[in-house]
Amino acid sequence: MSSKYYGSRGSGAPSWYLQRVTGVVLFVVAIGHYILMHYHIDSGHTYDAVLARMQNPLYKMLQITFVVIGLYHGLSGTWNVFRDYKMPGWLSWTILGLLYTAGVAFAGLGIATILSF
Amino acid sequence: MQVTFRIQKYNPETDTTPYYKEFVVDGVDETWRVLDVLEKIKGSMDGTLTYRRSCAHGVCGSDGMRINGRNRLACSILLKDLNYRNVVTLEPLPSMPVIKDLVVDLSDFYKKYELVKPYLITKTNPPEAERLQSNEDAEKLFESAKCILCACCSTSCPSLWTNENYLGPAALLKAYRFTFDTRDEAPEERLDIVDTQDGIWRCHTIFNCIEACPKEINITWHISQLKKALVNREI
Amino acid sequence: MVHTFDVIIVGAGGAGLRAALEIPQGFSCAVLSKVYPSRSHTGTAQGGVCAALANEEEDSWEWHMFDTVKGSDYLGDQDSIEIMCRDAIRAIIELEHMGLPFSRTPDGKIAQRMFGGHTRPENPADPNSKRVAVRRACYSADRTGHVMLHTLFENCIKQGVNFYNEFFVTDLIINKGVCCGVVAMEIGTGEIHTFHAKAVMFATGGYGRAFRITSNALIGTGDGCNIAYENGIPMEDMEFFQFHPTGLWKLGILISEAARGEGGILRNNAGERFMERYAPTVKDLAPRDMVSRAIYTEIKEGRGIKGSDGTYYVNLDLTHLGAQTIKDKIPEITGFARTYLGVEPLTEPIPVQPTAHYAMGGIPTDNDARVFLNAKGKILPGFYAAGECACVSVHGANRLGTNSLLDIIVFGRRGGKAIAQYLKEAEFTPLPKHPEGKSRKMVDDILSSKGTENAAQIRTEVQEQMMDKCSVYREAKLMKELVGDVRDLKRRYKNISIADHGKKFNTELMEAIELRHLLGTAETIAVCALNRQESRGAHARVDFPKRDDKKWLKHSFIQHEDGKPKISYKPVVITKFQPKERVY
Repeated sequence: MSSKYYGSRGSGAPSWYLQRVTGVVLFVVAIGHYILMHYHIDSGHTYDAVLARMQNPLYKMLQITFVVIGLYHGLSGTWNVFRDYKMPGWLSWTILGLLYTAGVAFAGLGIATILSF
Repeated sequence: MQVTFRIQKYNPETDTTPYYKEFVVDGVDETWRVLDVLEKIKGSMDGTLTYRRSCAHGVCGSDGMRINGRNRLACSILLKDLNYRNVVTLEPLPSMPVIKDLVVDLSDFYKKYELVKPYLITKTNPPEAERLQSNEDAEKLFESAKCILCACCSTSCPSLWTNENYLGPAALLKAYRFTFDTRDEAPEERLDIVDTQDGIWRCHTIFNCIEACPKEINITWHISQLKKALVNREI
Repeated sequence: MVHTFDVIIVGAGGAGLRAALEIPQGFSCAVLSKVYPSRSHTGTAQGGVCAALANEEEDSWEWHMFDTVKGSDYLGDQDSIEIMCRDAIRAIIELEHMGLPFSRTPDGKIAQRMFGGHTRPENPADPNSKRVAVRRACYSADRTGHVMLHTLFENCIKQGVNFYNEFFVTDLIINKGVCCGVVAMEIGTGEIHTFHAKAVMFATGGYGRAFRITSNALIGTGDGCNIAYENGIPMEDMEFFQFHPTGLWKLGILISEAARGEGGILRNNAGERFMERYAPTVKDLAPRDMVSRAIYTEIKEGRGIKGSDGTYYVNLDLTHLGAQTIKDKIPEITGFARTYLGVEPLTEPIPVQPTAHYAMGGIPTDNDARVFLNAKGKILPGFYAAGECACVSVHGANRLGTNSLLDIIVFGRRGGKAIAQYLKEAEFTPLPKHPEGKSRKMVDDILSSKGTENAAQIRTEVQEQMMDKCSVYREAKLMKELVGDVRDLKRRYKNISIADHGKKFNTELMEAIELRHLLGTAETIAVCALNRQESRGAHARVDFPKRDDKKWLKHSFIQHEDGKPKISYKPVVITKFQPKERVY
């Protein structure tokens, strides 16, 4: 089968579906985040308040999930935008590599920051 | 009544780039089809004007072109449907190689159509009489079977403008037509074909195809049915 | 450039595609079409295709055959009609198996509707009882031709048929009394190609564009018929040209008989259902020739409705059918009324007028699409014709609605099978010297001409003349004028020049060549119509208002001999049904 008109052979269904699921999750979490940070009576922006919340392991887990999902959704979305363009193989591999690197780096940075509390 | 047509012209044998030429056509009526005006220009003003046409009533899909910036059939649009008191601009369908004036090269379009196996695949021997199918199941195919392969949808799709490898709405619509035919015995083969990065997943539900379709087919809905089937299959 | 194939099929409509599917693996076959296959005129057929499946009510192929014979005004060859009506049942089932999306009955079978001229005895046990309309037309909403064309095209893709799209055939090659290929111009490049073949089939469609008001596509210019005629092959029954009663007023766009099959009614300016007077039993579902004449008579006697431009029409009333029926059963044609006339069929009647629709005549063939060289039945080896361009003759003097789609799938297939049989023994006949010489000269003459005539102008004139002098009603005086007019136009044609001198995609050149064919065809129609001194089916003479079986129960053959048309006759094959007066 010619590769023209097909692109990579792997099914696109899981990533398409995951992008929508993560989108919905992010939407809900982002609203929670917004309420927590800006509207909750007790929250405030003080270092102490944040530090106190961060002592809860469940809350840490939530933050890590938020970082990972956010990065996945954002970077996979970016890749999808690039995929709309017809590119030579080397360029698409380079961009994909850069996106993966950025993903790993930012995930590491984010998780390290969360865990440092 | 008089109308002014501004038509993109390009003769591969003499021109290096396309240009626009204006025609002021007398003696027309607002109930005329755009195609009638083209025939008048070709017959009495400029014989070199080149376009495809056949049935002249929106059934054969020959005369898809860009009319005032939108992909339409010249035979299905009357002057009164347009803002004809201003200049009416005609251009070839976008994103396809232009052969001459309003004629574009459709080989890529048909190639993609052929790729999705646009035919009923059966493996079991047919019964002596017809295969039974409920009228509801048959009617699920009618909208997609209306397609006249005019290429108005595919050439209006931004995903296809940027990535020529994308199958495009017309081919995907055809894939729906057979994948969801209860008589078809190889829907998986067809799903495999569309389930690739340059296959169905370049569709970002932009809806340009629906706006362009002269047969008023809800193409995006049909594509989304294929996506649903794929998600159900893979997850 | 010379290409070699075992079979060349010219025309990618229903007949050509169906024939291509019959060419067995191991033989090479190419289909040449001046447009993409999906643009062929088969796609514009709407209402249905008849077969006595008896899915909706009792039916039999013999009743179908009787209707076809009677519809043909007893000019159809009954052996051929029997083949068609018997084979119809198998042919429709086969199309269903190929994937055609038919509308269905509640129990999942192919749905059927009523159509003009298709009847059954009211009491099935008594064949002589009064005939009433029968549900015989298998359909897919009102897009039956469209889905048939696409289904056949799809199956050709599945089978890997070679297509040469946008190749315009300009000549037929006959050498040593055998047909051995065609010459074609590749439209995209202007290059002339020679296709060498053992067998050639013409499935080139009709020539409705010879008339001003027509339902036919702009490509329906009779190319195949005239190319055959110019090569010495006769044309059969050219005087019989069907006018469909319900074309959109002024435009001629077809409004299918299905509209009346679903219950639509024709009304005159007083709102009267006038068909009750002309065909008391089947009323609006009378055959097309009768309904067209009735409309002309209504208008002539002052009961038409005057339109904004001074021309007259009658109304097709669908307002009582209800939104659901219109949406489900006849969505396309009601859409045409909205788009082109701005009429809402749910609440307003649709203005209609008779429109040139179908050529009963054409290249004479036997029941296996083999082409006759003369009225005595001599065959031209290697040459086949099927579809509207051919005359088997199953339609005789007037075709019944739906029988054209049936004709193409039955005789397209039979032609394909006959070719497959012929190929088993046939050898390539060598090409003559310079087979493309005539075509090259024709093209060069037009390109280099400095003449003063305009092709589009001549085309308009011939269409006007044909419409005014040789349409639904005909008489000697006007037709004599017409023959002269057409010959004048042919003379003027020699002096045309065109503005586009390019090679690539020169549609002006193509249209000029099409005009040559249109003029040639128009002449044969006019000459044959003047010659037949009786009224039969679609050929209604004011000066000879009666059918005359004694003198005219015969097919006319017109043949080009020494630069002049010559007419000869072939007897009609009558088997089961003796000619009777034709009343409905």
